[in-house]
Amino acid sequence: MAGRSRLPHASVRARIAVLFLLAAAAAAGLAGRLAYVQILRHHHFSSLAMEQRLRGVPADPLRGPIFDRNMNELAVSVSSDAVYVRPAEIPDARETAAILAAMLSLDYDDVLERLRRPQAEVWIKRRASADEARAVLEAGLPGVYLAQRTARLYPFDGLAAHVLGIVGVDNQGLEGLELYYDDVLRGTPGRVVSERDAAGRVIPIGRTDYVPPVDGRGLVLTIDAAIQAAAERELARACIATLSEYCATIWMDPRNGHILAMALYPGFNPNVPGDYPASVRRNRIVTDQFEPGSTFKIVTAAAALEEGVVAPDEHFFDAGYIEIGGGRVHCWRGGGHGSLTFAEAVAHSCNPVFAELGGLRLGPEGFYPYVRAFGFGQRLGIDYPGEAGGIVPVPGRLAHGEILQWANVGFGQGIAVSPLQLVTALAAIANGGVRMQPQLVQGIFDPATGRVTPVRPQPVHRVVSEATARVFLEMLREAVETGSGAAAAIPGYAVGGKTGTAQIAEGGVYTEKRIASFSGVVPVDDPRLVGLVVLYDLKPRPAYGGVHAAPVWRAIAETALERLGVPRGDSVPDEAETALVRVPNVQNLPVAEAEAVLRAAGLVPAYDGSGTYVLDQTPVPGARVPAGTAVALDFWEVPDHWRGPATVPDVRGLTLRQAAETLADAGLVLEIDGEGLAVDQNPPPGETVMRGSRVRVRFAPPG
Amino acid sequence: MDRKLWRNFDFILLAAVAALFAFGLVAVYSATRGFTPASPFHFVTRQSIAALIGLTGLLFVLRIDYRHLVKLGWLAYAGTLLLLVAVLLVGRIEGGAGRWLGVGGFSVQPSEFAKISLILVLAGVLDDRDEARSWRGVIKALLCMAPPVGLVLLQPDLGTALTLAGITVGMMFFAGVRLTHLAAVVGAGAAAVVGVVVASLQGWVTILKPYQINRLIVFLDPYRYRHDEGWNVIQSMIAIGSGSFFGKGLFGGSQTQLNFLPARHTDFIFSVIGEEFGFLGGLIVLSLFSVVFWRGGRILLAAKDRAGSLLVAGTLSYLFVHVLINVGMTLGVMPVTGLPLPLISYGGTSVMATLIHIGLVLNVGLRRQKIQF
Repeated sequence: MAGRSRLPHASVRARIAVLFLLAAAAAAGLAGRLAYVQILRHHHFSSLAMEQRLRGVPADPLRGPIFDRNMNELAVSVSSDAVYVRPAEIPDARETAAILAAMLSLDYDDVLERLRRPQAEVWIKRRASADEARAVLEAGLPGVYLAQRTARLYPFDGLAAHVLGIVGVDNQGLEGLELYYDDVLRGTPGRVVSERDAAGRVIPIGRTDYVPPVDGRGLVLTIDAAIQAAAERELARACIATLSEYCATIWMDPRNGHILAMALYPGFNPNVPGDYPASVRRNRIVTDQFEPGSTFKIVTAAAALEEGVVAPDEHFFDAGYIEIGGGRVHCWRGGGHGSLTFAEAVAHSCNPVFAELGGLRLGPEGFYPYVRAFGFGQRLGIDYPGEAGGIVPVPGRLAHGEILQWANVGFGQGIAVSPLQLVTALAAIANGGVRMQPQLVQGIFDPATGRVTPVRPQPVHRVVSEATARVFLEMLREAVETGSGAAAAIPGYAVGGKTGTAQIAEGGVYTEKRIASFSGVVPVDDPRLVGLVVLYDLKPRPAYGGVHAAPVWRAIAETALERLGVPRGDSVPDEAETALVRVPNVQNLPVAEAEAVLRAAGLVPAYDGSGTYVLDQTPVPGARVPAGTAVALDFWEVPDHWRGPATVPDVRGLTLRQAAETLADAGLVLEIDGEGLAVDQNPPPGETVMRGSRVRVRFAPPG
Repeated sequence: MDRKLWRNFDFILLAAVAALFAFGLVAVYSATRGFTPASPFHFVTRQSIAALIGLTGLLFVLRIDYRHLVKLGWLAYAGTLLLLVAVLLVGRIEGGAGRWLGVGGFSVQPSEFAKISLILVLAGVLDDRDEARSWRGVIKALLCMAPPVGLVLLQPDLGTALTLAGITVGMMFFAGVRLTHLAAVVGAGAAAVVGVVVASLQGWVTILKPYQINRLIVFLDPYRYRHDEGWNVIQSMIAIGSGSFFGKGLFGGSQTQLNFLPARHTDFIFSVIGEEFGFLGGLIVLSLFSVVFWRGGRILLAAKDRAGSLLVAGTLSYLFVHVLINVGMTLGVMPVTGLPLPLISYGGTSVMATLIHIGLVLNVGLRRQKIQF
């Protein structure tokens, strides 16, 4: 049995042994590798698998809705159909790509690239319309599937857009409340869990189960949609008419810090956020800071009253300027206000008086704690992302000029504040002296139970005593009834407020650009509403807050008061009513004409110096004052282009913005009546008027 | 055929083969039942028909004494070479390589039959032990190997070329080829492969396409190629790794059922088993293959003559290369070469060819001794 017929035993048996050892080694190696992958590295690969599965399985939770305070839906989530493919199952990528591209209005090359990706599932279109989804369904292409996805929808488009913010393609919050409350709104995606035994241990043979997604919870805002809509409407009108760069308004319930409305113009539509630049989407009320100017005198006055360094009836003499801390602070009125009480100084916004309070009577060490206590130079903790803290100088840092620095702070220069901080500070005075944390969300809505878990208002601390607050509110009321805030007065309600006109500094240099603002409280006796209106870089001159911002404030406040059901009372006693006269508007009139008009109304013109045109008057137009009151007139050095006569252009047929621009080119100011296209104007085209005059234009919807 | 031969029939071997096929059929069903638009049983039915044809072939092969088959080997060899040429001329292209030949409604892969015919031919060539121990025999064997290897490389089908080389080396080893000769041949082959890879990478020649090279080296670092060639390997390891010890149960494999696993009914069928039947399922498959090797080894040792032993050695080499490379690939330790897992992977030609291979082994076993009267 040797040679050719059988395998020889000696050498070849050894080889067979070698080969079988090799085979055994290979088998052992594979089994070992199997054990390594499946047992030792099991958790690693399991988590990879789950991660992949959760990404691959279309199981979005429904993002929570956002309601206004009356449960109107401001943001909702709706299911939409998404088209996805499983590339491995597609028989002919080119053909399928061509059909899908045509059906879904997509780019063929892009679709083809997606169909060829070596992935289990690839999205083709995330938000397909109902028609597109039906077409895909009816086509029945192999490897093409539909999945339910949720899409964010804002039913009122731009309403409260800056408050709500935006979401991204995966429904993640990107800006605004959508970002701040993303954890609440987002919900929990579906996941895979293992069965557990009674002790909570995972059963090794346990089935893995798919858990459906948990929908996100909703937000109930402090915003009132009706007040918000009024605020947006009025703000847009004013912003267009004054050709401002942007305008902002914020309204707060002083009792609890609830923000009732917060609006900016220009606005945006969060349904199509990509159509707007990020700068337009920014909520400047919260995130931006600017030099407040006169509006900040509220803080100075309240601090000085609380410290007892000044009394409302204390007399000051304003010579038009004050030497302080080695510098000189001028009054906006060239010749000064002369002798006046502190209350009048507040009403007329007299800079030297506030400089004295800030720099000397309170002083840096005395003033600073109040500035901080009112909430400036720090974040207030509003439930909104990106809050600006503002800039407040810290005493003791400057070797020289600290007195002057704080004198400037006294009338709102040399600090930076956000509109939110200003309105919060005013609200603290309005509610009797306690600063509240500003709040946008008053409740968390549970979609499963329909129950709302309230978010309680947060008092921060007392800033001034109730007595001080009350005294100061009366001074604000006086500012409206007889002072610069006349245009904010609402018949039947006691309004208190403060006008503001600030220069805009760019690159450390004050420019010709202006900010006009008005901040007010209503009703003064039992404040329910605190509001601020800011027009940034408005074009008409004079750019006074009392002229341009106060009427906007008034229009919004009237709607809000009605909405809140605040009863209309008699803010002015009956017997006084008859004795008061309404101050006529003499701005932009030649001096002689202005004198005649005032005398006819039973008032006495008063002015220092000389000039051609009246550019300002105190009290401002619309104020009710006793007959015989002196109306101070002021003449400004005006830029050439605001001087002289102007011919009224024809604006009929133009839009709001076109009309505003056309009139501005002619040196005139638009007064808007109605909406739509211009149909009528007064004065009529061709008439010669003074530059800076108002032209009232009636607009009506076309057709 | 003498009925007494059946006493030598290795039922254990056939049972292991049947078990492997059955296990594979379940896995194929699990992997393909979700395929649209075909019926859930489409692939399973086709696989079963192929197995029936293969079984017929197996029985047919059993009837003829393997010594006659070895003599007829050249005929089969010539036939498969012709088919391989035909594939190059009129073959159907799938996945970048033309491996298929349409026969009626079916497609066949002639390269699978090339393995059988090469084994038959080599069993004849290496039959003479003295010649096998000389350069003459070695060169004759290499000359037999070269034409089919060259033709499948042109398809290009690297996996089959490697298998053919593996079969040749395995049979030469059993045939008693001198170790120095064998080392020289294997060394030259390895040097040639490395040389081609390096030269292709450097762009000197264009023998291998970039994707082929990537497939060869992807297992070294699958995450580097995770969007392309590495995707399959990563998905396979995720499927297997997440299967754990007992698996996720039939139809419970999320990676399989949710279509994460590519080519899961063919090249990556072992990953389906690993995910749904766990470590246990994987061990069962490896154990069943071990049984095949054990029974095959017994037959190899008991064979009546060198030709018989060599036939068995060739088939075992073929199975060894396929199992090692396929399972290794799914576990991320072997190159991605597209070799099916015999008896398990979906693929009619592979199943038929493997059953005929098994038929040859059983044939040798049947005729292992003089019939005792």
